[in-house]
Amino acid sequence: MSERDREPTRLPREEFDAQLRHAGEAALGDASLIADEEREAVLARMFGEGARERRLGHYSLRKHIGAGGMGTVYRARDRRDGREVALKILRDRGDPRGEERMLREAYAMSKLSSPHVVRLYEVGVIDGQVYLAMELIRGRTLRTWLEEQPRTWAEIVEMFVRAGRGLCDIHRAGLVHRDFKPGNVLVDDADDRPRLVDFGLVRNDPREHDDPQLQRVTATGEAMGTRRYMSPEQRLRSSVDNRSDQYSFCLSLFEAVYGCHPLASGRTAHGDPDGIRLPKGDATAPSAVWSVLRRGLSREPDERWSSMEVLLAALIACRGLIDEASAGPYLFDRAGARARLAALQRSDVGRAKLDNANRELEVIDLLARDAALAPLSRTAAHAILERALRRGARRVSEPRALDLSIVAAPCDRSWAAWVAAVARRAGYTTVTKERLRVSWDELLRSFGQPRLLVLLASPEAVAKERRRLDVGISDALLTIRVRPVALAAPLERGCLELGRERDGARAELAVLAALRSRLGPAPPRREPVVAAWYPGNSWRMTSGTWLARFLAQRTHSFA
Amino acid sequence: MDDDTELYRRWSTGDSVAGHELVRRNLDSLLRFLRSKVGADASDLAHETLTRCITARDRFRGDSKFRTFMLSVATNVLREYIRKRIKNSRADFQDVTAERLDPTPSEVLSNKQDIKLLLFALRKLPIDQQLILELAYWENLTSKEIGVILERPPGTIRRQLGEARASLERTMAQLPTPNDLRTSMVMRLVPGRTLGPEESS
Repeated sequence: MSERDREPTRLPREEFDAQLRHAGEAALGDASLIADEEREAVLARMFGEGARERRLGHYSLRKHIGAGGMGTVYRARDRRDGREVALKILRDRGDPRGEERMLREAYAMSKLSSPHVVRLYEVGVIDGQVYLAMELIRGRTLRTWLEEQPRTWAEIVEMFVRAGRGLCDIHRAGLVHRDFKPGNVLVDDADDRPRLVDFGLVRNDPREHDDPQLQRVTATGEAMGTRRYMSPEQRLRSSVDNRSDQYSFCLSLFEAVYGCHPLASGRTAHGDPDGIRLPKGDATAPSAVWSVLRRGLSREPDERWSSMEVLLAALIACRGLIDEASAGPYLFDRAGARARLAALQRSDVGRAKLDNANRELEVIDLLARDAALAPLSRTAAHAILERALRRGARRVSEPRALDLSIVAAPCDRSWAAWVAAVARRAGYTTVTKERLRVSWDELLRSFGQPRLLVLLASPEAVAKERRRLDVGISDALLTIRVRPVALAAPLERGCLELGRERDGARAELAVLAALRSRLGPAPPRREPVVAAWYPGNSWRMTSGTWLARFLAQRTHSFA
Repeated sequence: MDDDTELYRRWSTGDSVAGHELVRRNLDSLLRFLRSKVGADASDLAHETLTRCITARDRFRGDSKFRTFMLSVATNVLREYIRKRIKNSRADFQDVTAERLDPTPSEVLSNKQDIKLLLFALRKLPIDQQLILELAYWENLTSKEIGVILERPPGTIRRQLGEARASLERTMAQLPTPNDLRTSMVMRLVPGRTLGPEESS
């Protein structure tokens, strides 16, 4: 035995066992792929040519490709035209109503043509067996794609955005996927194009849990995995719509980017009302990605993004900003956004009939882009400060890492004093709620200098301030002045609600939009960033730069 | 009685539909078992094995699984094949390696380098050891079942499984692969622990 053999081992015997078993699976995959003909030949020799072909209607089953919770998939040939298809034969659950609904949806699905959804050629029943004939894809699942090699967050987001297009197309056709997860996305071996499979097929059948077939599948993790990606409303078996898919999408992406399930348990929860985990300190994705996903993971469907399109736009914005910072292509359709902004400016804002998605898009563009500018460490800094605020930690480590300009957080007086003291020691300017009442001008004037400006106030106080300041809104200027606080409001609920708010808020949106188009491209990377944290919501950030620049030119901007 | 046993019973009485289903269910396992040793001749040997499964149906005892029975028949078929190939009527699993029987293995479709390495190393072991490891880890058979197939007592199988593991470790350590890769693999092995998967309790 060589010296090396006696080296201490770090990995236990289970690892070795797993390796060996893995090798067995690899060898099996090998046999079933290459030896397909071989397999058929053996069967033919044993049972004759006739038996070689298993038939279902006009399909000849060639090879068993896989089995899932819902049925068995074969590679099959349509004898009418010779076309190769993936034929899924559904397991009989003895549920005629579910079957009927499934057939109805499948029929609708067969009308759908999307480059990001696997084509459904045919649905039918033969000998009481429901089958679906689908496009045959040579590829692996998105789950495998994620596992086969390390992927950067940007690659992952990009792949998911492309897969998300499939959900958009499905939703546009009035359908709901109901089972989005990495295992249900096929990535084409030829061009890496992701395509969705298996949608609309999960039946809301309460008997499912008594089904021994399903329980067996559960034991192997398949059905379990599905449940893992379910939205809260889906788990409760209440009615689901496309926002349920959005939840599953965000959950899958969260898991892919951060390597953990977003729902924090016990100790890791940080006071987020829906229990969504903060990214770990070493996460490389910009915090904007987290914010975007956080919203999609809201327990209340109404609090999620209004549609998949908007969600994808926000993700693209996160991605696009990074590209822009490194002089790469900017993926976001800024020309389109500009056109919409211009339309907003031209129209009477009070009566503007822009649809929700468009309005929301403007804000996403603004914020997701600016937020993505934040250096990566900021996410960790947020977490530190927030934990301190919420939990009563004795000290905030590395306060200098927080070059946020504003932190607004709910806290009582003693916490306010403590945080202010910490910040002052670190050389930051702090503004407490007493000063807030009287020093808006001062606050805005001091924008350029402090690295951290702690704005401490209870939610009620913030709301009160906002009300007080909003009362005077008769011109756009004042709207901008209250922006550091008011900013959070439209973000909290999205611009969906802006339409229901007073004209002042809508005017604010218009002004922001106008401002944005006037100031042109996103501010350069290393500018100070304004961050606001609101209870019941997540971190929202925007760059302080353009606000400062606006303040400099305010005299002629909105005369 | 499991499904396979029932299918086998029906097949033995001439129900070829049942036979087709039974073979379809077990063929991948059988082909893998043979391919990892004889390569391209696997389908011939598979056919031979399945034919004998029917002709030797009196040997099948209902208390073991069909798959175990099938693999024990395959083992005999393999043993005869080796004697014919090596032209030595006494050649046995101890003397021959898969590498010698089939010098050009098919490309393994695994992206994982360490899996490839492991499969490669397996082929360098005496077939006897390769068999024990594969039956234990790939077919998830107990040492009792492996004992039935190889006609040895379970205790012997347990000891030999340990030896086979150690032997696999050594072989992998000696493979002419990049040093870092080899190290990472060796680190995963635990010297001195030699029990098979099912005896861990």
